[in-house]
Amino acid sequence: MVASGTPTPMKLTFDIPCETRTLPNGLAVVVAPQPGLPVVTVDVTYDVGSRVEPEGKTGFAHLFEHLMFEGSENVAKGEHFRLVAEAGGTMNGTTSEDRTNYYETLPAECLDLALFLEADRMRALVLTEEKLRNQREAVKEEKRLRVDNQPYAPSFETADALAYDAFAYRHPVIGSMDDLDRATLDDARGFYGRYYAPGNALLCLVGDLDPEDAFARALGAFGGVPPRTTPPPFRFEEPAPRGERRASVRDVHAALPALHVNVKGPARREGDALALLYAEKVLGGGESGTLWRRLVKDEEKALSLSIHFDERRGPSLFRVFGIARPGVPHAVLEAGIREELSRLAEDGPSSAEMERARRQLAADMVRSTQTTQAVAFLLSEYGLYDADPVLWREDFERILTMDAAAVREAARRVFTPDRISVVEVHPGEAP
Amino acid sequence: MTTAPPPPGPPRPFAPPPFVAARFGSGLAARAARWGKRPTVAVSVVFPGAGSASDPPGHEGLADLTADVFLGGTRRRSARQLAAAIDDLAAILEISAGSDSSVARLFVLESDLDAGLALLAEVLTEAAFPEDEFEKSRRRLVDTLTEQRSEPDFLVRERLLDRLYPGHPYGRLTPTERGLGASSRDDAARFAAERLSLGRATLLLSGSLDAEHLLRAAESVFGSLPVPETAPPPAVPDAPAIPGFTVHLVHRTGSVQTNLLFARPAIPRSHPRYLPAIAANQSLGGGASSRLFHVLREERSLTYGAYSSLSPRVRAGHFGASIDCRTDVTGDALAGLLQLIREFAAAGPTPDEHRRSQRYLSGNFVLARETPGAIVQDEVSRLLNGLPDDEFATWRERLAAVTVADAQGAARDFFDPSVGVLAAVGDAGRLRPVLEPFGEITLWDADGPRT
Repeated sequence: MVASGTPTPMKLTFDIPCETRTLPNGLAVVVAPQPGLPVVTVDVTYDVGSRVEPEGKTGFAHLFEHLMFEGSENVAKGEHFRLVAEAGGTMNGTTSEDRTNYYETLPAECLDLALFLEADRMRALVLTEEKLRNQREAVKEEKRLRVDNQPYAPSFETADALAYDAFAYRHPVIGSMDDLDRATLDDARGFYGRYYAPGNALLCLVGDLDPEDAFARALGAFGGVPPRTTPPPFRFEEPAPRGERRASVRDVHAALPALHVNVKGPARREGDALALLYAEKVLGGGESGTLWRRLVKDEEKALSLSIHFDERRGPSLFRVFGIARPGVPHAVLEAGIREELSRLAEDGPSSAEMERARRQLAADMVRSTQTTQAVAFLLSEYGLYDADPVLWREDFERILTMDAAAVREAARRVFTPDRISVVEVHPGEAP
Repeated sequence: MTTAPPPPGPPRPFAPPPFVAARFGSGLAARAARWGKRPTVAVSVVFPGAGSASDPPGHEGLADLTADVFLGGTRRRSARQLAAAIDDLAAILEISAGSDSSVARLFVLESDLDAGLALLAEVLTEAAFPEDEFEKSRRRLVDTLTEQRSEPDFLVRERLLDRLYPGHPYGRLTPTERGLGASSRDDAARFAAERLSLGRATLLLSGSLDAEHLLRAAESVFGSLPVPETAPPPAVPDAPAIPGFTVHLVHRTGSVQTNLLFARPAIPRSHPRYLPAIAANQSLGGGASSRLFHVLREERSLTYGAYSSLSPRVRAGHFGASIDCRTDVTGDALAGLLQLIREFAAAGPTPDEHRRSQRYLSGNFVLARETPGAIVQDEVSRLLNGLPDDEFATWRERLAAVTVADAQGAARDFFDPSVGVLAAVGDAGRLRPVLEPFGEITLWDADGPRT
């Protein structure tokens, strides 16, 4: 017979020491030594995402991310991929609504290579019509691959457009085909000049490195990047919620009906944001989250159900997306989702639910910082958005000490009908 | 201003951690290795021969169904109570069936290792397989099949495997609705008793604690559990030969792209030429600096990405290459893909390509092993495929010894596209005339042969 134990109390059992310095050209540099495995991640995050795109220019921030891999003054087209691969490394770039990042993870002895590549494209990117044409086609193919040809994917664009009023978050990161076709070389040059200044970026180095040596190498590589005017902080106004919204879309690729229920919430780290991370776990954590358990397991109304607080620098969305079981109408899914959101707002989490969620949030932090790349992303986010890469620790402590009343009050304030938007996805072609 | 990429510094040594082996008093084999920066532990219990390739005839899907219903409750806890106990520890506990094995995996915080292992042991030795939970699992798997058939990537892989391994268990990507329907709760309980028995298992642990500590913790939970002797699972048959080059077109209404996947028989993981084949594949299509990506995306703008890979199993394996492209350039993209593979099979990598591939694979070997979970997964693979104890300790050394002639030989013997299966998913009306020059086409719908 095996006896199962009792969970131990939660506390912060690890740290991520790091130091920040700013180079004379304005580039912020964060260095976090993680001794042990001879691996290092170099991550450059620029303070520009799709939210800055005006109407008619959607998809440009992401298209520009592609152009950043197409060569700079001392790196020929195709050489970036080749050099990183030859070093045994991996690399990529990602664009979100709020920022764009470029990273390499590679053997620690190749740190200088990654610094060289990132500095060269920050200093002297080479843009041509041919590169723009080539990458425009790659991005359009990416949109077909990830959105247009996939079940349910286009409905996420509808859901965002319904939830937000301000254009910044209303439009998708991938953009529209027409806007991608309209992008010009002058647009690219202007975008580079405006947003890719060293003072508009943060460089994060994580791995098996000596901090002083790493700062010296960063200065050596990036010190020659001339300072440029840094754009003013991007601001946009999202109007206050004005009532529930609904939409219905057809999806030729979907086999089963699906439903989005989104609730507009606060920006990351503001107001009730941390409490909504608890709500995410109480409703959808593991296999005992109340909403997930009810609709997926107990009542078998949903084939799958994702519950996620999608934190953004502006208003965030508390997202629930479910694919219905065959024959289950949208109304049944929606009723279940609304009832569980309301229950959390009225009763708050039970003490067992609260402790479970607390533990899951703490475990997520442990598991999600096991690699140098994941640590670099975490420190870069706080470093760029909050000018303090170690603020994650403060948030973590706040999470560990939060009580059920705070979660209930947050749910009461946020899970209100005027903040909700609902999108029904119906399989098949439009009649 | 630096004008040339800086050379790398001297390579730093790296060796994956050695596993410490133990056999508990009960007879259960266990292996543990200290690894990782965070206070977390990864545990796997591997059951060779308990995968979908061992599904009894007529019960295709039984391995998946059994794995799923293991978490449907134990003699002590209902499904709901079990889920709560796992979530109370913030642990991840899952059982999944692959082709050649089933594996139970536990990820738990170091501080909760004892409690996590106790739950894992309870699930593996006291699963109750309640009838109602069995029916729920069955319904969910059947409905999942419906949903998966709307995904182009699923359709192209399903059709490819079906034709690459015709009539063979490796040819099934998922359970079948018929096999699920024919299986009962008792079938699942019997499959679990015979195939997922601790008598056929090895327990693997890795985390931030000493190997000896991990083994002590495991023995205190598993050391006194019964380890019944069970008959070995039936051997997976040899994969059948396939005839020449065949083309299979799956119609998907509304597709705005064509998903193309070519594959041909290659080698299992334990084959002595696996490393030369891996090196050759890297040069052809392993990444963004490989030939396929460079020519088809960067030079010709035909796709978002083009890659090749080896998919080794215990008893067989295949080499494959894929490209997704818009419908109107499908002919050019496919011709380009096959031509590049043909050229590569004939001549293999250049010495420069080979050197770069070796460097990439050697460096990436280190990057891919940052977590305890990755170290445990290596050991799972080693055990399943019958690889030597020092497989990963000597991997980089052996890779460095692969010559360009070795890689060229592997390309010639394992990549030649004159034999193989081409699967395409898209708008059949538009694609049929485009694909006809490549071979006689068999048409399919999402659910099977087109009538």
